[in-house]
Amino acid sequence: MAKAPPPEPIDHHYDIKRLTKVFAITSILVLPVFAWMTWQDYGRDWKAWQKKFVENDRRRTRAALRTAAEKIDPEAEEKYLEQRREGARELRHNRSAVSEAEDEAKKTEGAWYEADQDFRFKKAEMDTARYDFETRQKESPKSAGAASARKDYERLKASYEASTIVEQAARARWDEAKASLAALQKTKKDAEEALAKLDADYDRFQAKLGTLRQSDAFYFVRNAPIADMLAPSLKIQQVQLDGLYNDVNFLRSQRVDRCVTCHLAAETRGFEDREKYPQSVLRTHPRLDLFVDSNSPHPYATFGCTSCHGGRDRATDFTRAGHMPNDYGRYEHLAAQLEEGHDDKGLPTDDDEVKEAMDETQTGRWIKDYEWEVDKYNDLPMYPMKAVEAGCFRCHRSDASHPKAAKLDQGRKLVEQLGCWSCHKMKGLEDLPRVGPNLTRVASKTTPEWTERWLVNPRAFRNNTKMPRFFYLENFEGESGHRLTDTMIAGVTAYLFEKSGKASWPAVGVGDAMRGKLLFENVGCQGCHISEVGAERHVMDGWRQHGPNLIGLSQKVTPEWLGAWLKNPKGYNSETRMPNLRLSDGEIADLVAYLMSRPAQPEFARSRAPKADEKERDALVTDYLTQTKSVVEAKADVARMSPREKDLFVGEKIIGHYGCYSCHAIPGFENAKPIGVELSEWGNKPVHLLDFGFVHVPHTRADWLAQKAGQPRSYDREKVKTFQEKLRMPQFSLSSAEIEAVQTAILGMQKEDMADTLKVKAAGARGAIQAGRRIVKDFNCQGCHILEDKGGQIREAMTASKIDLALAPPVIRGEGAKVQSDWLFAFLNAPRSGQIRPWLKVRMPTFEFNPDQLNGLTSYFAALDKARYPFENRVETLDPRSRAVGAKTFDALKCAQCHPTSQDAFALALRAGKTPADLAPILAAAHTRLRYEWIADWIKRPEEWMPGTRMPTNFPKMDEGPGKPGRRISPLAPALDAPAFAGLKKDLVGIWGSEAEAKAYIGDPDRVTKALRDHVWSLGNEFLTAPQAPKAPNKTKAPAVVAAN
Amino acid sequence: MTLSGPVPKLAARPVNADVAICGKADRPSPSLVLAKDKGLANAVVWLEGAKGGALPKGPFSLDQKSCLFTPYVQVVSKGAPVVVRNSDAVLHNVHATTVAAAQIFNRAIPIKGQTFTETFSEPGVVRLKCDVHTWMTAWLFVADTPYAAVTDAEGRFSFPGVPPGTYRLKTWHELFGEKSQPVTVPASGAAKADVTLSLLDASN
Repeated sequence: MAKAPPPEPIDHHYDIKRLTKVFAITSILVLPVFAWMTWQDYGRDWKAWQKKFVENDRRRTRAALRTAAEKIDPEAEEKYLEQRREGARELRHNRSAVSEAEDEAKKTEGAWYEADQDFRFKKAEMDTARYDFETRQKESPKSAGAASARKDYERLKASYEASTIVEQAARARWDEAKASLAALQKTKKDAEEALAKLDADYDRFQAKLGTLRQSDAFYFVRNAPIADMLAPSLKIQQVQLDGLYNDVNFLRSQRVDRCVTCHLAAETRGFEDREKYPQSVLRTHPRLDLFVDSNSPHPYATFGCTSCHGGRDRATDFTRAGHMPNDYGRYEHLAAQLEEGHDDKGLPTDDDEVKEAMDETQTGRWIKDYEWEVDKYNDLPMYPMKAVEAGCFRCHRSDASHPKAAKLDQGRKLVEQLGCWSCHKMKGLEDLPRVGPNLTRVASKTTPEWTERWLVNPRAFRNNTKMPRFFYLENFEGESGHRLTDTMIAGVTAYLFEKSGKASWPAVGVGDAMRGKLLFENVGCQGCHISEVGAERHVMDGWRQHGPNLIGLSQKVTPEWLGAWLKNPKGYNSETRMPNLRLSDGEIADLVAYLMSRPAQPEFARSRAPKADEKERDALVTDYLTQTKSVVEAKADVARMSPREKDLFVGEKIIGHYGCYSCHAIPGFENAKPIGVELSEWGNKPVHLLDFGFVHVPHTRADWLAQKAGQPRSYDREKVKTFQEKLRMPQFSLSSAEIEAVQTAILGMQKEDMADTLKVKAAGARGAIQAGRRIVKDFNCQGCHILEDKGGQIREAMTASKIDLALAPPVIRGEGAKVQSDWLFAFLNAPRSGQIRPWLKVRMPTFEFNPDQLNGLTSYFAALDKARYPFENRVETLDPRSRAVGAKTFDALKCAQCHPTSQDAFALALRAGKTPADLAPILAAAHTRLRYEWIADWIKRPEEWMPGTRMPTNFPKMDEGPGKPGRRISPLAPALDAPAFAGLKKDLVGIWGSEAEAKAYIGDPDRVTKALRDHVWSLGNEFLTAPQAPKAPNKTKAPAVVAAN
Repeated sequence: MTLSGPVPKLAARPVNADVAICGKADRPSPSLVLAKDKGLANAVVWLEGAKGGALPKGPFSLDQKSCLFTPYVQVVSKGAPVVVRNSDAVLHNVHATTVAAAQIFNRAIPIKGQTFTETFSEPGVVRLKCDVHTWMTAWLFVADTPYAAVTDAEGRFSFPGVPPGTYRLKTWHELFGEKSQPVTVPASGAAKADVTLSLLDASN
């Protein structure tokens, strides 16, 4: 029976039945969409990586657990408990020792206080008696009263003196008690820390065990499709980076880094093995000491990944994250070959071979494995791994060098030394020393003929020169291009010599080239200069190419100029970094003779001098004149000008056009601005703003840059440009390794958009180190010295010249802790030869540092070693006993066999036939040069301060089995019983009162090295206020007095 | 072991320190000691790959007497104690490095009659030098095989009790560097190996 539907409560305009149908159909349609969506979400790439990581992690921990359970588990636990018991026992023992020591300290302090009081009273009594005696003496010198007052005074004086000794002894005992208390407290603290670490390790192990025991079923349920919306363990991992931003055109948004969503292994140790975990996404970050780890300087929670690596911070998709392969350029190059069917030289290529080569590239593999493509919408993709150190530069721009980022460091060195910064402004690289020589007096140094031929091709004269080539490059090809080039060169030369200041140099005596050669090899020239025809350029790690390669000088300069230059480099060029080696006139004559005899590169002698072309010159002058004048006026001017005037005009314009004045000081261009584009934030430059011309390179910033650096004028190819429009960047002839390094440095020049708190601090010790490194770099200290474990390249040259490396410039290590800052300041300000190591032929040159540089260097050395700076107490009183023991030990150890104690002793040693090279530093200067504490430490462990030193170890470490650090021992105590040491033994017992005490003292490496130090400190030291070596009997009686009191 | 070809003339080493104890006379170079028939002394010879036999346990001794190291070349066992002694009344130091000049130790030994003991854990040649008296040099060969010896004054050497087999006979001398040649030890009887070195093919 059909029943009518109930009436609707209110009127409506839709049909329920139809609506129901629509709903039904829609839900049928939506269901698969929902299923598809769920599946898509479930199957996101990052989940696969997370799963793989979880699998790896479980497998690894299980394996560890199994081995632990199988092999050492019960044992390990037992061992842990045993260790813990032992630790606790030791701690208890320590605690009681500490409290005993505390008691002892209190007791000795009391005793001292008592002695001190007694001493004060005695002094007061003595003073009263003295006054009494003085007044009586004045009133009636011969009275009995005066005599008895004198007696009183003398009695009290003796008693006062005795109390002085008692007080000193008591204070010494108190000091000793305090020292032993401090030592015990440290042991106790160490024991506590060791125990805490033991507990922490054990707890961590237990916790890991707990996680693993979680059921697998639970893991799968919570990560199952749909159910995973509740509380999945697989989820997007993200970290908000406070103070780091994304630049979203006119807006800054905070960075939110999601990289570890896939790179879960990055922060976990244990996934380092490349063979076990071939995909880098499943591996531990290779430098947890520097990055990611929470204890590293760049913890993940603060910096994330993208602030260094680049790329899109919140992407969780391979391509969209901005991954960038190393060889995209090569891949594209191959792709072009495939399309065109031939290679660069036009030879036909085999398609299959090319395809195979493409598949073998990293790009090819990424395309296959991860469907990678260039993300056109990502302005800042990641740095390819070959340039990954670019990421450091963003924050570390103010650092002087980058010891932990080798490629960036090299790139930066190139940018600095080749003078890129001179034409292209780069923030952080301003105010460096000019890279080219000063040309304001060039006419007094060289000739126009040499200059013209040099300008044609600097490398023809000096293959390794840093001067780039400006002329005869690809965008000035052909007959007319060469004519124009010759005209420009003639003009530039004419201008330079016309404007040059004139000077004449005194004649140089007749020198001997052989003696000059010896001087060149010995005095230190080779720390900064080579003299080799055809040498390759090494800017990176090429300390010996800091200065020019000294070849062909006879073609370039006059002997008079060279002599004047060697005598006083700053006299010719006030801004030169060439130091003064304090050469005598005779030495200069010899050196000049040698240097002028050095060969030249043969191709330079064959090169031709360019000649200005009249037509081209007129055209060029007209071209420039019409910029400000009408054509008619310009032509009239040209007709009126003499050829010389035209040359000078062209020269001035061309110097301005190519910006020569950026590297060289040139008269008339004192205030000219550099011509290059500013590169301070080039790393952010949008790719579409780069002109790729008609050159086939992939459209990425890195590839554009590599092409530009390698072939600077290539973007002019096939272009129709006027003279003014043509590219001007010169050819630096960079090797491919150099290009990669430069690429890294320039790509790293990015906007510094971060909070101030995250910026690299340029103050304090860090700032001092950076400022010091800047000076060290500018003045090439590492050419001669091994400093911060780098450099000392002069040693290569010395080895080649068969010079004993014992005569090499000293290795600088621990200098801040070693020498007094004021000594260092004075030494760097005006080094003198022969003060410390008179046998060295190599000279520390006079650099004429300004006060800022001197302070910078001294604070740099102090900061490197965390030494006190700038002032410290001068030790002016020495413990007489320590000093006396020191003197005896100094003799016993025969220190003076190598170390002259004074300049006189040095002269004497030479007269006795010693070779200077066999001697050790003269000790008379020790107290003005070395830090007091350092001397004792050096004597104790020279091989740790300076590995390989000739100073032998007198206090060797005992061999206490593997893994144990080994205490140092003094072999002197047992030797004391030898008959040869009867005298020494007697002396020491005299000083110490008993044999046991003497042996304990001399057997303690700490005390005996301090005693030796006190002796060394006293050598030639007129500032000491302490009394001379004590009379033994007095001192031996001192303890007796204490006992009697 | 014999030397063929030209015999180099090596300069004597001047004594320029502590002449009171060390004497004034120049010391002849110890680097090349030849018997009448050009037998080469002070070369190290060892068998590579020979198994069996126990390493001599030592202790080995090295003396410094009249400002000379004695013996000039000796074989010591890896890990065995070497007792270094100073028999002079001057300070000597014993600066031990590898041939590549990597530091092993540098100990002062200032007192007459003083000794110290060192062990060497890395097999190979050790160069000893006294920096105080630069003419004083010596060599140790740290062996991890019992079949290692220094040639005597006639240039002879022998290894008793080598199990039969084919080995490489290795030699080292400070002027000639390391050389090697095969040698076969028969099941019974002795094997004889003659080594001829020449400066003309010296490797260092």
